Amino acid sequence: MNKMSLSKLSQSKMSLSNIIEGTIAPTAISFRRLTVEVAGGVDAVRARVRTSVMAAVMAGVIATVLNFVTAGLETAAWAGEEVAIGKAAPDFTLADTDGKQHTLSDYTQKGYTVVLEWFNPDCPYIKKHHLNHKTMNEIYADVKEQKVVWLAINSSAPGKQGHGLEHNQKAKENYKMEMAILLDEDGKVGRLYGAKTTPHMFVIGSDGVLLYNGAIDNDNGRELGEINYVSIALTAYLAGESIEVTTTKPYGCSVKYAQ
Amino acid sequence: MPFSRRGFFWILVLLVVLFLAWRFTGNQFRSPQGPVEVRLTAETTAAPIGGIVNLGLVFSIAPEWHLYWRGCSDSGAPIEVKMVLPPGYQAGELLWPAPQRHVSPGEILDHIYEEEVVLILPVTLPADIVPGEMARFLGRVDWVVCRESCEFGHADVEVALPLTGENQSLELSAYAPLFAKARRIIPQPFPRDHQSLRVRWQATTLHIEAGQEGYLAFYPLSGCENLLDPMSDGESDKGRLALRFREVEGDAGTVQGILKWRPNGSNLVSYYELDYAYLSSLRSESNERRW
Repeated sequence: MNKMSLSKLSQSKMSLSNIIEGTIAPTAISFRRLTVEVAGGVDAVRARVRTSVMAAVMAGVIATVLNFVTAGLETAAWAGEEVAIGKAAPDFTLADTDGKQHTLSDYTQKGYTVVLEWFNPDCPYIKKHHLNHKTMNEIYADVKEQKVVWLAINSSAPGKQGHGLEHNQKAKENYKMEMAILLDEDGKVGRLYGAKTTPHMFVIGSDGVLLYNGAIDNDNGRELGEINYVSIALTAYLAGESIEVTTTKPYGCSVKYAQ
Repeated sequence: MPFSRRGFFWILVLLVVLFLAWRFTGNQFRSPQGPVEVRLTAETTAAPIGGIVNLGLVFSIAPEWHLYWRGCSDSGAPIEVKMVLPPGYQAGELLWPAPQRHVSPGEILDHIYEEEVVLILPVTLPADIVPGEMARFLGRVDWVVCRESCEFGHADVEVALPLTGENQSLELSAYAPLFAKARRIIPQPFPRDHQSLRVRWQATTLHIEAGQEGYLAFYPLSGCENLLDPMSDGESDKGRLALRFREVEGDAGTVQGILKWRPNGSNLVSYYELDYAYLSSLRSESNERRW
């Protein structure tokens, strides 16, 4: 009984390479280690190869379907975590522009209040609050010493406006941002929170409960608003008072998610 | 063959030049003002003393870019218009044509204008102006224009028109066709006795049903936060919409928006203003209808 590896068969003009390298390989099943036993002549080889290819294709299809199903389950699990005022904010872990990992629950377990700001360095609304005015830096400076951490999250997908490690590192420097910029290029955390705009603000209490969801202030034009909802919410919460306005309509550029 | 190779080379060069010309002039055209040009115009060549003159803000929008309607959108911001009128002049309601639905990844729903939009402002002139003078109208317009990226924009606009007697006939200006085109998509009040469209509450859902299949869309104007799922509920090609609302405490006002209706097999598109009180079960107030 002869044994022939698939890679050798692919050299015998049987056009397997496309299937092995292209269509099936991405399903994470390694076909390179699959072997085909050869019992007879060329016809027998062809028949066995055909059978093997069919099996491989079937395995690929099954793996792909399983991949979709598990991805669907994962999405469903994410979607199941409702983002609502008074409920626990969904946990996440993201790396910042220096490669440091940030986990929401790590901060809240240490008693930190967390501000999430959806961020895109090229959005004019972000420039309004980080460059033309120092809205975010100023609010952060006011509360930083009271165990508050501010995380800017960029959900721009590859190829979309505002994406890129170096680009965001440069923005952090240019905008003199004291807060970390977390990169969420697959948009999972953005979609989980239902982030629509840059900026879109969330305030999470030290018990992990969502306190505020909405706009930074009440002017969706180029001027600063007279009412800064995030500042008011933080001040009230840190003083042990109740927050009057917990939800507003966020404004800004759309978050540049992948299709 | 050397000749055919040379010929092929020059054809290739020509194609590259044509492509670059198209890419950087036609398709990517930007005026000195940016992706949006705006001018203040009038429907007529003169303004009638004691009568009404229709002013129009004409926005020319570069390909692929869009401006935002005054109603609900997840991103961007509506066009803002501030007009300065001579003393005694009365501005009417700014008329906004119906927008288009625009959906971006991440379930971001916006209502936008592309290519060109004309906002019409009727202005009533006082009866005691001296004929022979000019009526001068000034305005400041602010906008956010987006494509993949967004930009703020603004312009100061102006138009001056000769005054004419109230009974003198008015000539249409060169811009009049743009006004006529805009009026075709300015929504009309929804008639109570509409031939095919019915509006009714069932629990917390506002049903809008046509007697036949066709395209129906609802563009919310206010109370955006009370709509549960405008993305899914906001359009249908079955001639039926079911707009689900969250329960509202106290006076929630009315459900306001634009209804777009195009029956199957017809090119006729209608736009209606919907202004419908919340059902009493949604609030403690009355079940009054307002149209």
